[in-house]
Amino acid sequence: MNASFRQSMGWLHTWAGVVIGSLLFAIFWMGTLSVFDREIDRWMNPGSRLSPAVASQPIQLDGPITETAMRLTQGSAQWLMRLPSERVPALELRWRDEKTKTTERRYLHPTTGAVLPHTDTLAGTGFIFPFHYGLHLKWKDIGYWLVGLAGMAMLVMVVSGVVIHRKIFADFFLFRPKKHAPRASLDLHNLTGVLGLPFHFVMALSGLIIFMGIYWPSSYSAAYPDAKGVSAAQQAFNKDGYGQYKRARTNIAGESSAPLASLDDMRAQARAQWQGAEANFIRVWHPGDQASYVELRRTYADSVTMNLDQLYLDANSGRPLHSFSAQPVMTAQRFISGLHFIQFQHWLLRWLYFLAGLSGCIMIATGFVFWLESRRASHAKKGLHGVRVVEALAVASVPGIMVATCLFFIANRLLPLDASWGGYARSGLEMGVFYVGWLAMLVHAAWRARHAWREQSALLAVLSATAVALNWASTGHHLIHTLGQGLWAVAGMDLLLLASAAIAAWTARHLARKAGTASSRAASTPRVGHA
Amino acid sequence: MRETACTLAGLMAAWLGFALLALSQERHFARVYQSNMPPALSHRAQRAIGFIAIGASLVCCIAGQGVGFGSLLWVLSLSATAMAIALTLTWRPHWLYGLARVLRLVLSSSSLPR
Repeated sequence: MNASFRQSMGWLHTWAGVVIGSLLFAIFWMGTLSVFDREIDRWMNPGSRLSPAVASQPIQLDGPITETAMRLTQGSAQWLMRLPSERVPALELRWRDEKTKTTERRYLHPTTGAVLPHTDTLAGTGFIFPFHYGLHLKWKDIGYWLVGLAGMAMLVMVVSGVVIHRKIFADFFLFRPKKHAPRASLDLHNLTGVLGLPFHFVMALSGLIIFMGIYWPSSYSAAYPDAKGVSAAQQAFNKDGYGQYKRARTNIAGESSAPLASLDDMRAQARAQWQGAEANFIRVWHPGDQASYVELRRTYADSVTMNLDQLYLDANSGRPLHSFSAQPVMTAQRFISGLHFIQFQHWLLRWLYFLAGLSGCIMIATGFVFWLESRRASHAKKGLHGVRVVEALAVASVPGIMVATCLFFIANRLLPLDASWGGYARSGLEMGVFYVGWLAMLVHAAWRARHAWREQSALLAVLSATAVALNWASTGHHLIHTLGQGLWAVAGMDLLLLASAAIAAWTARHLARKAGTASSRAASTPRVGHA
Repeated sequence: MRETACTLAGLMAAWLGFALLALSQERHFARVYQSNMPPALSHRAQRAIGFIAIGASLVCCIAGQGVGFGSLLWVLSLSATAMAIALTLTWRPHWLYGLARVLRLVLSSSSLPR
């Protein structure tokens, strides 16, 4: 290969990595945690920790469950009920509060319909997962655009990384941790990058495809040239592609004495259409209105493709209004989405995704370490400040975000249930703790430079273990209890926190030792050449 | 039962395939076979069998899990098993010595080229 081409790709890979690495790590980290977002929900919202045995019992919606749902959601323009599953044993109720303009969520007991004790938290599905795709930056969709930029950069780095890697096959299995830091970190960067390459490529590409409509809004107009404006074209696409059905409200109350026809009968109709598959969720539009209707969506549990099967029925009579199945081209798009969203029920695959995500995090972190370690000595000699700046960013974005995530978990266990401060509700305070903690890690990293790696690792070890202890103290759910009761979500979260405490403690000790030997070596022999 | 067996066979075939590919490289071969034991197979034959095992892994995964889950599982398990081999070679290379002995036993009577 042309040497200058390889050089220019090397330059691109290096600088794209340094500039976008922090953002990319945040997205990878939050994406990896999102693999277990519903399990994090269980941990952070202890009222919904029901034993999986409860979820496997047959469920009846008519009666107490529907009555409770209608009572809680009164005045809302629509409400949604997600049926229990292995991952979420409780029935989830969501609605938009028209007064506060916020989406409310409660969990109901799937057999009694009782409202389960609620903790106001955004947890995994409300904070960690949206952070992964939108960074919680809503102004002008800038979060989506930054994530899209990072996704494109990821693709560029995958391709340029393959170009600049001289010996992909010869070094396929190679890792030499005992070599000097730049070599060892580059080995691990190459190993995780090459072995995880299919995963990284597919995740970056499918992520971009999922938000196609945001990044290329003109694609709607291209497909529907007759529509007036982008939003009309988008509506036409949603109708044809996603099968969206709408019926306007009449503002006349429904005639029937019962406000809602039997939801269980509607589920039975849906099952008959969907080869016995259960509904994922049931949404009631314009409740109480003459034109009220019910939307049923088929479960995603049994295949990679996120099907678009829907059934719409009249809420007053229970008569079917509209049913939809995706066209083949949309099925392809939904397969790609399904690869990314992992909404299917498959524990082995879920864990493999988690491990692949972690290896992506290691790839980005070791990329930073390689950049820093191979420049540290020469920058010091030339009096350049690049290492100092990049090191502060790298520490804040690698151990720093992990510490902030742990603080988020800890705040969830420590804040009183009715906490509010400065106009922020409890869930907002939890987020605040995350951001303040993250900022503090950045300041600490800028101040302590190289030592910050070790100190933040040690802090992470302490905080991870603290989170487990606080879960025990605040709910009484220690590991023996959760494992014995089959509360796998809680047990798994505690075990991963303990594992992270152990790894962080080991890392801190390892770095302390290395710093010790390096300083004693520096004291005894004058350093010559490269370090 | 059949699903679990096929899936396990798929994971093991991928692991075995990568083990053979790794041992077909002089550097890793030397770490595992610390004595001057000659290879049971030529490097090229080892590599061929390795690739066949990785291909067979796809068949097993699809047989166990269907086309959608099976192919996805295959791709992800390739990364995972290759990583497992790489880390074994780094920290516990002698674990693969057992595999080499089994290979030798199985192939001792065969007439495959050395």
